[in-house]
Amino acid sequence: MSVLSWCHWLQNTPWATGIRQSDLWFPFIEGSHILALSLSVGLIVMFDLRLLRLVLPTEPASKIMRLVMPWAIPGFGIMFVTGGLLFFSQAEKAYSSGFFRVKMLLLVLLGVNAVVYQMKYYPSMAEWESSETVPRGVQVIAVVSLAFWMVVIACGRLMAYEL
Amino acid sequence: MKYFPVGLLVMAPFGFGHHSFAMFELTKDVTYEGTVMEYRWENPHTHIIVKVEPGAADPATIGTWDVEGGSTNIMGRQGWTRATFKAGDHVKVVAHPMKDGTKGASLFYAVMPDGKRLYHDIARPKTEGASASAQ
Repeated sequence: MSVLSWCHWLQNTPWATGIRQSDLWFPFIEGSHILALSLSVGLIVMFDLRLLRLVLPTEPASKIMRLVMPWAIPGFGIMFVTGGLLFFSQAEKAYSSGFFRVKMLLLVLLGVNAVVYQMKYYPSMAEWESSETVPRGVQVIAVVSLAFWMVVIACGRLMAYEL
Repeated sequence: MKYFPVGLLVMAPFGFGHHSFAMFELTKDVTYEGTVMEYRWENPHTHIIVKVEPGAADPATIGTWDVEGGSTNIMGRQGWTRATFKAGDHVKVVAHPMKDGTKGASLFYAVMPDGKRLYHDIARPKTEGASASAQ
């Protein structure tokens, strides 16, 4: 079974069809997916800007992280679940979209980016978080995160412009 | 406040429905008359796949066209239902073609067998009177 025929089967399952044809569920799921952006990506942007010392530079970065993550992570969870449901409801179209593929690739790379931060720089945050010189690697991670998230959002929007 | 516009940029699309009408030639009203190949009553957009046979009044419309309507909510408010069309029905729709020339169009209205028009949303972008020449 090819991926495309699996997508065809998936979007024609009764519950995927149900979402697609529902006056209530589709807008609720799509709306939640977009509103959850403010919780997850919105707060991640604030944290990235703090890493670059452009926002709240006098507050320790670890404190900002502690404050935003309890909101950003559930926000990401909502985006992940609602995004999955939106994919199920139009799997064939999504799989065929170049924008969707770029979006998925960048999400994986963002995951790698976050893991690198957690493993390499998170344990030593206390050493550099209050200093005026942020390690070069941390700056790169923050810029990559900001840039990739913007492209992910743009790709999500552009998918809708393909008939 | 320096970064506030970034937030606005992210949220801006939410107010405009699934997508804007930028990809369609909104000033052009084209009549597609033919057979319904598929009528997809679904979100985020309903679709009528229309096959226009050779011999049509407008030769430029010959071929198979994907005519896109609004969401089921929006169309429902204009009187559309999942049973408005079915494959094999004769159909006459007026729609705004894609700017890039691909065989797609944004539904303006359908002319039903009794002559009544079923509009996409609130007859965007023109009023009924202004579009009389389209028929």
